[in-house]
Amino acid sequence: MKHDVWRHKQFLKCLMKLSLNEAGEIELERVEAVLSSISSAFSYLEHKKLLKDYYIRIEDALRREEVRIRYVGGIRPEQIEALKHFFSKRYARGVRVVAMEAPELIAGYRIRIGDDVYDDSILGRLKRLRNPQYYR
Amino acid sequence: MDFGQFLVLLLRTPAQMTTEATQAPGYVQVMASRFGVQWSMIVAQTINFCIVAVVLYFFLFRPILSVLEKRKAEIQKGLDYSDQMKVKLAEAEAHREQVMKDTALAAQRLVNEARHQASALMDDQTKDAMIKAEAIIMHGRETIQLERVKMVDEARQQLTQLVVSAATRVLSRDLQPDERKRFTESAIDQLYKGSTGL
Repeated sequence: MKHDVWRHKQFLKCLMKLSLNEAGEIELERVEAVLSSISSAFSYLEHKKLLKDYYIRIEDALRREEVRIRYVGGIRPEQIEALKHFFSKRYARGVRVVAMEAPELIAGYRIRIGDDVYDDSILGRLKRLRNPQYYR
Repeated sequence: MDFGQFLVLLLRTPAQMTTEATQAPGYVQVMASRFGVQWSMIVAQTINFCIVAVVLYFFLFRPILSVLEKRKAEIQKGLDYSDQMKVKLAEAEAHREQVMKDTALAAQRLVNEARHQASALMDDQTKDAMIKAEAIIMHGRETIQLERVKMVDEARQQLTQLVVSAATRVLSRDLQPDERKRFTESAIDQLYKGSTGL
């Protein structure tokens, strides 16, 4: 049983490697190829759990490679590129940048990548001033 | 001899009678005859007296003596018993005094022990009370200190919230768009140039 779990995890790792391109990003064509090969090789009952775990990992990988930038007052394109380069280097994987305006921040930015949050907004500073125990 | 002669004889002085007795020969016989002394009667009287004396001795005097001896013995016995009782009474008195002394000593010892124990108990209770009082005082001080810190924290938090709310309103209302953009660009530059704003 323990060995089966280990084999399952190893197989999922292989599938995830197959789903990434040279830049380390999730690529749609590769994912489709992986899914079609799974469907042809296993029956539905056998690969139900495998597909579910694969879906969770793909979702997690997409979430981790997405840099969601919320800002106030505009941001220059070269700054977006600089941020993409910065986070690719920091997390050692390819990232996608999604930028959107967020007036409730008053000024500054709030960036979320995976479970990490980078906040240098007026609203964030005021929140840290109000509840310093949450940001120690 | 008539009455006159008799009076003369009676009225003579002893010195005269002595003189006459020494001067007249056979005076004793004369006097004996004059008084009617008969030696046979005297002897008979003597014998009678002896007989009466012997009878009285054996039938009266000896029983009375024996009764007296018995009474004397009983009295002596009573006296001895009385002496014994006196001795016993004295011994009992001495024993009573000894018992009283022992009892008094024991009572004194008990009283001293009770006083000592009471004193020790009082000391222990006093110490316990002092320790408890100190603990209560310390607890009260700690509670007061905690309450003070809590009040200061609450006041500080409320003040901070007021300031933050006011600052939020003021900044949202008064910050110009170009200032916001400049702030954002500056913050992003700081992020990828080294200092993060996590």
